[in-house]
Amino acid sequence: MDDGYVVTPAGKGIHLNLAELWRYRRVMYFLAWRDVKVKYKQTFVGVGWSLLNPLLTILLFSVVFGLIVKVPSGDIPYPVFVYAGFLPWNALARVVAMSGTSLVTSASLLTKVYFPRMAIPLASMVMPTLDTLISFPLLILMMLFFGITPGWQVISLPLFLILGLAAAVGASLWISSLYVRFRDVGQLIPFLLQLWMYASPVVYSTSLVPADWRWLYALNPMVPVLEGFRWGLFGTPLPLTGPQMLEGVITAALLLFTGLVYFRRAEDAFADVV
Amino acid sequence: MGQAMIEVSDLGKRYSLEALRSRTDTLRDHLGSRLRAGRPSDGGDTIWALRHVSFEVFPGEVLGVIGPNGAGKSTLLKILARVTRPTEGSAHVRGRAAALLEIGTGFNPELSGRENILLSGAILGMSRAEIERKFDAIVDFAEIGPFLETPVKRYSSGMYVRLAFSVMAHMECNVLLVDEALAVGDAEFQRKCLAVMAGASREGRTLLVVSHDLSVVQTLCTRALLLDRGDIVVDGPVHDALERYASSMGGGAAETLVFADAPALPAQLTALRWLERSPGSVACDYVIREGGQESVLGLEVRNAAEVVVLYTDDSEVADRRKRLAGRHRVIAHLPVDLLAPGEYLVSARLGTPGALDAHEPSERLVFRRRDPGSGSRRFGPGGPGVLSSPASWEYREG
Repeated sequence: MDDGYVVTPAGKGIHLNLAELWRYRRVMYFLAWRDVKVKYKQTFVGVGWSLLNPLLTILLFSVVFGLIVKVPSGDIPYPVFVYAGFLPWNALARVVAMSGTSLVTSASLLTKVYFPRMAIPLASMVMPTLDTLISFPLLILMMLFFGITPGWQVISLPLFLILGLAAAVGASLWISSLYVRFRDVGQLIPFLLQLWMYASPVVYSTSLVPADWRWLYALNPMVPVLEGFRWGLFGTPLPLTGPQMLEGVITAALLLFTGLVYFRRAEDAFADVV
Repeated sequence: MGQAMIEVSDLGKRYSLEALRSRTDTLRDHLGSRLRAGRPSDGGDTIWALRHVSFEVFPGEVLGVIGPNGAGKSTLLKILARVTRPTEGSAHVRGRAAALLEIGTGFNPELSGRENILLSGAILGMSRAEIERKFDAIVDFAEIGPFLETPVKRYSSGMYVRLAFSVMAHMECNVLLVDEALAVGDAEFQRKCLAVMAGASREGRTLLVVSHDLSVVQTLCTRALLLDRGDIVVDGPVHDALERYASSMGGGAAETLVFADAPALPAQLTALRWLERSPGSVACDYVIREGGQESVLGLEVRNAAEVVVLYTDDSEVADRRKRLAGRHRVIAHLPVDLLAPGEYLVSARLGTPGALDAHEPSERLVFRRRDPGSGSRRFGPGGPGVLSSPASWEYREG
C-alpha cells in the first residue's frame, strides 16, 4: 500500500484480485463492526427483537400452514419443522436484502475514498447473519421440548451452512452491483426474495414436490441447504437423491463465480453512476 | 528535484451525457435501448471531462488546481484518489497517498467520537498502530475531550467538522490530495485547515490542492494548474495561472460590454463601459421593463485572486426616476486609487436582492491599476495587501 499505485483505464481481462481484498480486511472488519454497533445501539432491546421476530413468524406459519393448510411435516412437529427451514432461510433473505442495497446506501464512501468495493457488500452480510444466528438456541430449546435429538448427521451442518453462504454471497454480489446501475432493482428485491422463499422448502417439505420435477426444483441452491439442514438436525430421510443435491451445489458455485466476475466488471463504474 | 511523486500522462475521462443527466438507468430504459439499437445506450453523446492532461508534481511542491466549474478539477482529483478510473492515459502516485475529498468520510452519526475515530481512520487507510499512536493527538486537535463517548449526532456542527478533519490531518503520508471544499466551517477552522496544509508542505510532503478559493491558492501553492473544459491552460507559477484565470473568466473580460436582450427579465443591463480610465468611472446602461420594483444595480470589484475588494450599488442614487419603465444610465465613480496595483474585474448585477430573475451577466469589465512608480520602495511586486493608499507617518523621539 505504501509504494504508491498506478491508475489506468479498466482492463479487458478479469482479475478477481482477492489478495487486495484480504489486504483491506481491516476496512471490512470495521464496516461490519459499525453495522453491529449501530444495530444494538439504536434499540435498547435489540437482542429481544432478534428473538421475537422469528418467534412471531414461526407462530404465524404454524397457524397458517400447520393448522389450517395442514402441510405434512412427517414425524417432526410442524413448528420445529418450519423453524429448521426458516432459520437458514431468514439468514439468507436478510443477508441478501441488506447486502443487496449496501452499495447504494454507501454511495458517499464509493465516491470519496478508495478500497476494494467488494468490502462493502461482504461486510454488510455480517450483521444480519449474527442477528439471525442469535435465535439458534431457540431451535435447540424447541427440539429439547419435543424430545428430538440429532443423530450423527449433525456433523454435516457446517457443510450446508457453507453452501448457503456461497449462494448468499453470489446473490448479494449480483444484486448489489445491479442495484447501483438500475434503481428499480430496489423495488424488485422484496418480491424476488418472496418468490425464492416459496420456491424453497421453508414452509413445506420437498417430498410434496412431484418426484419427476425434483431435478428442476433442486436447481435452487436453497433446496439442498434447507433439506440438508433438516436432515442434519432431525435425521429424517433426505427427499433428494445424491445427484439432485449436487445440482444445488453446482448452481450455488455458478452463482458465486458469476457474481464475483460481474461485480468486478461493474465496479469501475460504481463511483460514476451511484 | 528527484523522482516525481505524482506523474500524470495523457489522462482522459469520458462521461456519457445520458448518464450525467439521469444518473441512473432503469431496467426498462436499458433493455429498451438494447432492443432498439442492438447495443447498450452508452454509444450516445459523450463529453470529455478531462482530455490529454499530463503533468508531474515533485517532492515538496504544492500544486493548486484551479478552473471554472466543469473544468475537470474534481474528476482529476477523483482519478488520482482511485475513486474512479480514467478512460485513457495513466496516473502514477508514488509513496503513501492520502486523499481527502470530503469531510467526515465514513462517519456514522450513531457512534461515539471514539468509535468514529477508529472507523473513519480504518476507512481512510490508517493502520491500527497508527491510530493508536495518534489517538490522543486527534482528540486534542479536535478539542472534543469531554465528549469522546458521546454519539456524534449530538455534536455541534463545529465539533463534528473539527473531529472529522482532525482524523484526516493525522494521517501519515507523503502525498496529500485535497479538495479544498472540505475547509468548511467557521473562519477559525478554515485557518486551522490551511495551517495543517501549510505544515504538511513544510515537512516536505507533496500536496495537490483543488481549490475554489483563489486566495488560498495564492498563499499556499508553489505552482498552479489552470484547467478549462478538461484541458490544461496554464501549468506554471501561481501568479500566471491566477492572472490567466481572471482574464478568462466568464468567456472574457473587456473594456466595453454590450449585453444581449433578455425580454423575459423585468429589468436588465444593456451595456457597461469605462467613461474615463483614471478616475474609474463606470457607465451602466439598463432597461426597466416593469416599473416600480425594488431592484438594485450593484457593482462588484474583484482582484486577480477573486477576492471581492469593493462592492457598491445604486441605492446611493436618490433620483426616483431611475426605476421607471424605460432606458436609463447611471454612472458609478469607483475609488480605484485605493487599490493596490494589479488587474481587477468589475461585474454588475441588476435585480431585487436574492431574486432568481436578476440579470447577472458573466462577462466582466477589466481594468489594470498601474504601479504609481514607487516600486523600489515596496516589499515586492505590487506590495502586499489589497489596498494601497498612502498612510501618514510621523516620527516621535523615543
